[in-house]
Amino acid sequence: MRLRNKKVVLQYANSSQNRDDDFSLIKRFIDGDESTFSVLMQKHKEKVRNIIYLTIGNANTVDDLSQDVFITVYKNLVHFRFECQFTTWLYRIAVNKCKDHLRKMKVRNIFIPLKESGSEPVYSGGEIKEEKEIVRKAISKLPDKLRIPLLLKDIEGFSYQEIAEFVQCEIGTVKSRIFRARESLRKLLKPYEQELLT
Amino acid sequence: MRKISEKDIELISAYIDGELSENEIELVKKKISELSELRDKFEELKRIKKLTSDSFGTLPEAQYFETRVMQSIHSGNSTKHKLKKWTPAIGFTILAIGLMLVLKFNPGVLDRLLETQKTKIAGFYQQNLRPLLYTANLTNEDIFNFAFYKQLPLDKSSNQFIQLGTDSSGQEFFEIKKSSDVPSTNNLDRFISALKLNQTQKEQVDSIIGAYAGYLQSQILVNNKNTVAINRDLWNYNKALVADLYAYASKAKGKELGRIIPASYRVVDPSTIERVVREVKASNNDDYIFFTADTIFSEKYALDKVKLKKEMDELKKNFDSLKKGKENYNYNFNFSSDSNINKNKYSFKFDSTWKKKFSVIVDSNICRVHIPRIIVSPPNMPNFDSIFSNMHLEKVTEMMKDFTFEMPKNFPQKGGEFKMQYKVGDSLNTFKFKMDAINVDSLVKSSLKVLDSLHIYVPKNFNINLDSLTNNKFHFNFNDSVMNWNNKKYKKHMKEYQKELKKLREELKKEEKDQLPDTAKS
Repeated sequence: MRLRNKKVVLQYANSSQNRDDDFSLIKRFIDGDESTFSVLMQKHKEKVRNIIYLTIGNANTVDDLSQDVFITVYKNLVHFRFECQFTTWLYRIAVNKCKDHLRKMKVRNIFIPLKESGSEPVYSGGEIKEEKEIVRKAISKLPDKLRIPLLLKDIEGFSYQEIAEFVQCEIGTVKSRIFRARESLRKLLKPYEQELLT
Repeated sequence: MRKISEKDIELISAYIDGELSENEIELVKKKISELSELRDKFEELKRIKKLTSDSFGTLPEAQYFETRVMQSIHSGNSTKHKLKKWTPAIGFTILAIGLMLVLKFNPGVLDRLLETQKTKIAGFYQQNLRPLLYTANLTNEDIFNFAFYKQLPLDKSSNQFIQLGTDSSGQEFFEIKKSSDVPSTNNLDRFISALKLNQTQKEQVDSIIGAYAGYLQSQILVNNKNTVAINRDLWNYNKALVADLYAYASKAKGKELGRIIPASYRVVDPSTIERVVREVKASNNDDYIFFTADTIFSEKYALDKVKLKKEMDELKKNFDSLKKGKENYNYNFNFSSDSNINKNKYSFKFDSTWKKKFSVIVDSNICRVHIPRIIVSPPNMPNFDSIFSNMHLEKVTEMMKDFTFEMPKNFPQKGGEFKMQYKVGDSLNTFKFKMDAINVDSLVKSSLKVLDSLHIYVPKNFNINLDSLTNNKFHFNFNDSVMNWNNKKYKKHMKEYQKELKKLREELKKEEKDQLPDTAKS
């Protein structure tokens, strides 16, 4: 499934019916029906995995972090207050986990030689195109605070409002960061203008 | 033409993302239609957005994701898992509490543990300890030298000695060192002949020395683990031996002794000597300082004297087998290491009877132990070191008694001869001394030559031997890294100095040339 087409899923999730579905599953879970948690997981796991993949940029750790996210959700679901959508809460947890992971990696990278830290597999639907690789490399050079909102917007199709909730900042900040990310990306891609045009 | 602002671009970026209100959309649309730069920017940002959204592919589907998560959740909930998670913390806490309790109710446990460890190490080095005199087969000459030169050979082949001495502050020490300063031979014979001792008296001196050889047996112990254990009473035995020999000599040959010892030294009170000898012999001290290749420590050690005596008697009976079966221990101590090239001081504590700390100095080729106090106060005795080192002069003094020489009244300034007369016994000998004219220049030259070739001689206070480092310093023959460094530095300085001198000489020459009149220059 292509990530960009997930927008359809998001629209579905945003619908009030979908929200009511999540709420009723959570209520059942709180009442003791543990099987509903598997349903919730099945429904949202791909989105969570994609968010983590985009945020971390490393496919190797996606599943471990995704599992960690759902374990946290499982432990805290009884405290869910039904004040916001379940997905907002879930993705916020996912983004926070990613931030923690990135922080740890930064500390670790201080002690790891450069050669070891750079080898991360990227999945590109079988065929690796040079153009995509150039763009991915340029995106990976962006700072986390610019890269995460940009990818959540352009790939996952979240709204500024949603991104602001996930990364816990103002909408204006998200707007500004996405704009700055694009400007930085433009500068980074300038030397490859010829390749990208062809 | 209006320049596009950052705010405009931010608006366009949000417009592309569909995040603007209707009013804002109208405004942006209007601006884009009006300004070609904004139009270009709009196209550019749209292209970047497309590049970004197209850059990432699909993620492979996770296999058994739900099952794995549920398994992790359930295993994480189990008591076993929780316990496992907290095991290190619980372990450390229990250990800390346990340690605190043990130390509270049994505060000496750590000391005892250390003591046990120390005893184990000590035990290892105390195995097979035997008297040095038993293994090294010391002669009466060696023991006589110990009395007056305060030096006992540990390993004659490698010139390793135990040396007793006093430092500048008068504190006694003993040290193990490699030395090239070996006492001259036949000192005992020279002592006997100087005192004109007859055969019986000679045997009595030998018996005194022999008796002390017995005492010294328990003072210096060695084994095949490269250990040398020295009793702290070693110094006292040295003093007692000197005192005993002196007492005997003054009793048997007072006149002769008086001749070799100047009158100013004769202040010895015989009762003091007797007291010292008595007290030293009565002392039964079992505190030893152990010198090993790895460490230096003090420990009590009880030598089985009965067993030792038995062994010695057996060996005496069968002297041939002793020669064949003589154990050849090699005590080769190498004290130099990178970290303790210079003086390193270690502190040790003795038992309650000897609580004062003593210091150990390890240098490149010595290991010196300073002793805080000597139990027996020394008798007031002459300085034997200076006396016996000049003992051979006694004969010369005798011969020089009647030595005369005549200097002619008109001593020729340019060469000539004068006579010297001296008596040996009753015969009168004459020696004519020829003298050539003195050539001052050649004299100065030869003197300078002699000075160049001369190694600077540092007169040694007999009791304080400054070890080979002193000599090395003058020969520039350094063994340790610190000195090598100095040597290199010295060479470098010398080269620089030579360069400067050369430069100076050239400048001087130039100046001289400049000062000369023009005619001379040409």
